[in-house]
Amino acid sequence: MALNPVATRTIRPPIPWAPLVIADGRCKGCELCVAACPRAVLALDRTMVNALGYHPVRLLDPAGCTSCAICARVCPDAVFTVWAGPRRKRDR
Amino acid sequence: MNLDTRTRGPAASVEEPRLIYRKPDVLLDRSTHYCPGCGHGVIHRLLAEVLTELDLAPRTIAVAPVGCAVFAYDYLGLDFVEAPHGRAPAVATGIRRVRPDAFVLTYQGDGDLAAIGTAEIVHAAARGERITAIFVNNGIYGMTGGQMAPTTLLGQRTTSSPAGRDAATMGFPIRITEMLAQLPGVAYAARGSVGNASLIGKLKAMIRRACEVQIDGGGFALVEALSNCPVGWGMTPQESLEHVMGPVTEVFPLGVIVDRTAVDHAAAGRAIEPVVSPKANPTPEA
Amino acid sequence: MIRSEEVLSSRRSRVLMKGNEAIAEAAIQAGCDAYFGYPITPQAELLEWMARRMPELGRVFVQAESELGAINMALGAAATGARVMVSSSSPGISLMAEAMSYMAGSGTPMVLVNIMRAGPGLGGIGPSQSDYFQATKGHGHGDYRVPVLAPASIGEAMDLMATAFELAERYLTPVMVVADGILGQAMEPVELRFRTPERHTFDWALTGAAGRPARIIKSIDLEPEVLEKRNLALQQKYRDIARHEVRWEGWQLEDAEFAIVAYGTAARVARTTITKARERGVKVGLFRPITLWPFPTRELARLSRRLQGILTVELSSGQMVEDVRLAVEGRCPVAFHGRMGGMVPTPDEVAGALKALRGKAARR
Repeated sequence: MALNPVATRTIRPPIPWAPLVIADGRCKGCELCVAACPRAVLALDRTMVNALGYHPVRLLDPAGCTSCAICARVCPDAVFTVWAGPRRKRDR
Repeated sequence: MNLDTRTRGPAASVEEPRLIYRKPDVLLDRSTHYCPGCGHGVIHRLLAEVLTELDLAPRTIAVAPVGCAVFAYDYLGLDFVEAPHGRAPAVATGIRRVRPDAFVLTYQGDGDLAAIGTAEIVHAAARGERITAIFVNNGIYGMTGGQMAPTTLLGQRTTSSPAGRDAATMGFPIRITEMLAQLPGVAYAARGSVGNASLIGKLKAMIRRACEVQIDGGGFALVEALSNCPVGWGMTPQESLEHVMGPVTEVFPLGVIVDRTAVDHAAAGRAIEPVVSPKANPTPEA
Repeated sequence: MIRSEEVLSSRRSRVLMKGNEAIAEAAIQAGCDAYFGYPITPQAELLEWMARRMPELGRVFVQAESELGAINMALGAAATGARVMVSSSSPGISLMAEAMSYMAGSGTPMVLVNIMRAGPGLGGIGPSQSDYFQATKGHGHGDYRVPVLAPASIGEAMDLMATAFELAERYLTPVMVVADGILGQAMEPVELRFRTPERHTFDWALTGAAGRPARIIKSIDLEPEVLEKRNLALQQKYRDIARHEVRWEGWQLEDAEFAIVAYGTAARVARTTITKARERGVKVGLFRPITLWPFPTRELARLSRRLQGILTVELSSGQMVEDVRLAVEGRCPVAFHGRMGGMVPTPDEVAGALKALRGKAARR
């Protein structure tokens, strides 16, 4: 599945930088992303409860995230916006 | 001549971050009433992605079911009409006939399509109505509290089969997509699943194909999405997906069940044997 | 069976047409964009006329898999703002109750024609007026009404088809036109004169949300406070219809001491009875509702103040007579004569019932 950015308006990468922007107000704590993440960098934040009454998911280790976007694919509530990080462009 | 005057060396420049994925605008910024982990959310999102990628949203007229997805119009920013339970394919037929330019979509659950709406889906398919039908099969009636569906598995406990579905009094689960596939009016019928990221990707490709079939004027297109109901099944979301990928997929095999778009439409109507994938017709088991 | 080409190319201004076909052609001339139906006696000719004519005109015709399919196709087509019609007969109309309730609730205009036959159940194919309750008391579930038009001749039926579309679109409601099997099957000379109601642009029609907010057509509101508001708005709509859209005909009522209240074919029988009674000096007239809903309650109430008795004649066990009694409020005796099962009251039977009523009134 090609994950085409389907935005019709421009959005800016998050500041401070993180590969995931999580709409934690919509998260229902179903943990499908936690189970699906190949790098195990996601977990529910059990220190907080969102307005829906759930523990939302949090990115524990931004450096460990490879922006594979599997979390975005499995999420039933479309909470994830995924960025691939700035990288050094190597000259030849 | 090389006009590049940059200093050579290791960290010469840094690329901007790239956007890999964001949800399409046609999937509205609203929390849904679906239970945590419910496949409806995934399927709504896949639909929104496909409609955006194919630029269909502005001319889509969609038909909402009765079932958990009764409020689909609150989550997808499309022109929508509510249909009585099961009648979506007939409602879609009316829309399609008076609006040849529209993209017509139905979204139904297993009760809507395979119980009360059986006649409507069979005849829309038989007429080869140029509509795209999304069929969410989670083997249970979620909205009304977890009763048995036509696609409930044998032995499965539901609130109306508390001792487990018993074939003798409650019959066998229906593979309705295979039934419909043998109608010449069906241009494309496929079954996918929300079981894991890879299967979700394949399901999206089926949904996309089913939309393209309509755009190309092919005929009736149906995608059955095996989905979950964690609350109705009494499982965690992850357990429910394992259940979909295991016992449910054994009874409802995945794949393209029929694709007549490469076949001459008129010739298909004259043939008695449909073009059906042998893999999709396992021997019925008790 | 009259061929459509013969009728429409006729240079005569009056041609012989079968009721079902005349109703169909009138709907077509009134601008019907789409027709959905299912064969059922005694209205199959209406569907067949549509099957020939609609494709000729590039419009939509679908013979659905059932009446359930037909009415739901109509719901979908009407949701896009198209001018839509369905026809059936009593058992098929029963199947349509669900979708009629949905369309009343969502404010979707369309026209449903019931060529009534005898029931209950499979019943018979003879003419009947036993669907009065079904039509006027809201057929399907929930607190709603639909305007119900009842022609008494084929010519009137043709004109009322245009009226039906007008009412449907003016008030955003389904509208029923009820005729019995006699009107559907009979052939009468009719004027080939049609009306085409003007078209509206609806701001609720589903056309694809390009360049505007998405539109939703629904009847559900799970919050009671919101659903009550929707219902109050519907009730206000029905009061408006009742205020402005009552239609009825009075014949020989100016000096009448007695009146026969009847509609459709029963009214035609009553006319014969009245003509003969007048020859004998009986001062009797006809009060003929044309809208069964809204029922001409006020007009009948006013009339009942100067009458000695009212005879209601129906092809049923007595359904409209209840609305007559409600309107009359006991001011004068209300008698009933009816036949069921496809039987049609004869003028002599009605005359007998009228005589009995006059006797009773004299003894008061």
